Amino acid sequence: MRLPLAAASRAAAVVAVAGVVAVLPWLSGRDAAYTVLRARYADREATPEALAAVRAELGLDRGPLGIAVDWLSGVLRGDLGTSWISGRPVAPGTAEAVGVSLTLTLAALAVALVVAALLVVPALRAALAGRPRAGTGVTATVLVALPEFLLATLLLLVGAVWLGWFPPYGWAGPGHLPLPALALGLPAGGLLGRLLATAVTAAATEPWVRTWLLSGHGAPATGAALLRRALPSVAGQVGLVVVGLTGGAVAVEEVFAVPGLGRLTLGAASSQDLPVLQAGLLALLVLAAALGGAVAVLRRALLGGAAAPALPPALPPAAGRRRDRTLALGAALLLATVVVAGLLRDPYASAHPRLAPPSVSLPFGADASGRDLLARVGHGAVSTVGTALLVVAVCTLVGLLLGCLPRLAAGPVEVGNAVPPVVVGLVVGALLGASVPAAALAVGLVSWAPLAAHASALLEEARRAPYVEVLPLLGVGRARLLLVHLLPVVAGPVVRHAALRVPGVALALAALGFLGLGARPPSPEWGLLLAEGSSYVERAPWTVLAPAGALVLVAVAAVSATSLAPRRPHASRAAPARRRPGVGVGGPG
Amino acid sequence: MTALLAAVGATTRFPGGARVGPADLAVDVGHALGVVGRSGSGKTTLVRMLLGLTPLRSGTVLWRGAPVPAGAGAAARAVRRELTYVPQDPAGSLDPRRTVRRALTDPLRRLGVDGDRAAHEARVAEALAAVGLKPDVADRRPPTLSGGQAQRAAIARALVTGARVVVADEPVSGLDHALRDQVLDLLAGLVRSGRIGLVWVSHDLDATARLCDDLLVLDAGAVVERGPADVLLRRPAHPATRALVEARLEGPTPAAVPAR
Repeated sequence: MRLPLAAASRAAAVVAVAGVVAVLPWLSGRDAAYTVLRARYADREATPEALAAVRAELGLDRGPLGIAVDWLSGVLRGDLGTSWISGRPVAPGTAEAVGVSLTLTLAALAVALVVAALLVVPALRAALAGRPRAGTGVTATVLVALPEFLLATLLLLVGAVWLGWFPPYGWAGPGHLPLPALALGLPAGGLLGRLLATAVTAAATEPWVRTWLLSGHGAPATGAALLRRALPSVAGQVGLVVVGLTGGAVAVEEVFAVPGLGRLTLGAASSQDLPVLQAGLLALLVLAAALGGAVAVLRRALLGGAAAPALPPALPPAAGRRRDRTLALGAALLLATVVVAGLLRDPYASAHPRLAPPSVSLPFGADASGRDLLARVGHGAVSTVGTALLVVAVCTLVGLLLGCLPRLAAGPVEVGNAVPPVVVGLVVGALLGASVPAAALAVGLVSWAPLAAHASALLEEARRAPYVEVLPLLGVGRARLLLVHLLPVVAGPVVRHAALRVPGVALALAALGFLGLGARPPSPEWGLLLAEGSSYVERAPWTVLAPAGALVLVAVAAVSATSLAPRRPHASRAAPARRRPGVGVGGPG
Repeated sequence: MTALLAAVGATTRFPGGARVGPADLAVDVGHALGVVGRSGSGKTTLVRMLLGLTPLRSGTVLWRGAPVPAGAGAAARAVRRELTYVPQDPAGSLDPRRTVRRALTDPLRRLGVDGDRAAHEARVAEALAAVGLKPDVADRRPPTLSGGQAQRAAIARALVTGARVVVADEPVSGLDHALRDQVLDLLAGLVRSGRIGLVWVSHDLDATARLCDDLLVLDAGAVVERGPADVLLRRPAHPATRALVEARLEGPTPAAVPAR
């Protein structure tokens, strides 16, 4: 009974995702009719009759099944519907956006591969010299840490404003490609490089490496074999990183005004233009599935004829590096200082000159409304981290609960691991409107998955303990076995794991705030601060640097904290999906 | 008069799909039945059949003349009080975070053994005494016990609910010689004194010969030979039995070599 239930759960999860996309207009209900009425017939009163007329015109009155069937059959015919706002067909615009996003994604992949190669080479050389070492150093840590929306803003500041080498906005010629590709590719490459370097280092401790080197296989041959040994074990996570590019693209396209899928979808979500949103989501999901499929094919090619589980995974050695620990502690301390200093000041009063530069009395400067940026960053920490704590707490409970039903939850866990929070944020934002609870819900909807995967792996391990296997014979029923004997064993490690995810969740929340899918002005949320500041980046760079600095500190703390997590012997299955904190993906692994 | 525990043509399948059985056996109080065979011959699967942990494909396993129920219902609890189990690595089958007292009182409560807390305490004390453990062991946790003490505690747990037949699955594999002898003497004493009947599963012929009246030889899932232990060991008829006996003559059996 093992496989069918898990397979059914996977199929159900995919159907559920497709179903949610298909019935989006119905889910949003009256809210959408109101939006459309205002967009198209600004002069008409929002009377119940007028709203009903709009609903009938949009086909919202036909119930979920009718809407879903209409939309799905339209998709099969290549008809993606018409925009609610502009009244024009959706398909041509979507096709153009797909072309743009594909170009950008491929360029970003190229960047990522180069970065990953640069990070792996030192690890490979050390391994071949017989001194395998853990980790990839500070460069990779910082690269992995920067979420795309932040990196994009920083690149815009440096590459387009200060250096003036690249055009800041648009998508007209090849000159427009490098900055977005770098913003998207650098963090992905950093994570890929880190994963691969760790896997290579782990593989290098296996006895065959020494045998090869001693028996006269050259360093190149051994190096190639090492890579081939290491790659399959991280292929699953590589797949997640590549799929995560689709989420990261939303923020990057927004920052650089690239007319790709992400920007199209984001615009549609903010204006509740659901047919456009549906088409964009469909294209994003297809793109993600294609990327994931390509990685799967590559993995198969690498493994040759061997079935996936037949090869023991090369596991990273348990190594918390002192430098990572120092980095995490340092970042946390610095951040705490800023937050405490900021909390003592008033974040809402416009008591200073507009865009006042940093000074002794105003260490971070003032924003466009003359508000104290230090105060806003400090208070923003409380709301962002507070929300993150709440989200993580709920996700821990859900993760523990669903971890107890591993086969039933298999599909949702995989979907939750793969779907970037930004994509969920788009859907939730379009349905509920932008707000902190909506952003929290969106991030929570995917953040439970790695915790559930971890919990179910730990449970399976605990179930195999001899003192648990014997319990049914001693009269312990199923419920009691789970609640009294298994959960207490599993809860500790899962809660510790959840704590490590708090910074990553905070970054995901900030990303949604940055995109206008979370907190609303004037609340001092970090992502929102960054978005507000980016309009003045040329005149007053400090408006960006203050929130960006805080976010970088959180990100560095997040990524270095993950290397402190103890690794478990069953990490091949237990290893929580590694994700980059930030826009593209959820928390750190 | 049927035996307490009886299997009649019971068959099931290995997790891989190969058939195990048919097995016929009968065990009563004061009687020890040895089940021997190489690793992978189906011994543990047979144990699981006897304990009602594996669905049967044909035949039955009877306790006091009625089929052994599966699950955790009242009928199953009643059987599990009297038909108990000592697993491989008995010491490992004790939860390291719970005291020995807790390990022994929990089954009393879960299996619905009559009596209040004081009666249960008395049962625990009596079971500990029966396996030769001092009363103060009750308040210690398994990691602080010696290997022998932990083994005895696990056997006490099998006795405490009023066991009539104990199924022991290689309980001495992995023990050093002295410890193994202690456990064997303890179990032999319990059987000879008419307190319990024993199904003793092992690949260790020396131990089995000392303990058991009758033997049943398993090979590739099938019962290939059976009979009184002394006869069978002196004149093995089946090649599988002969191989086991010869391995025993050539040198120390794996279990006789100190494992740690």
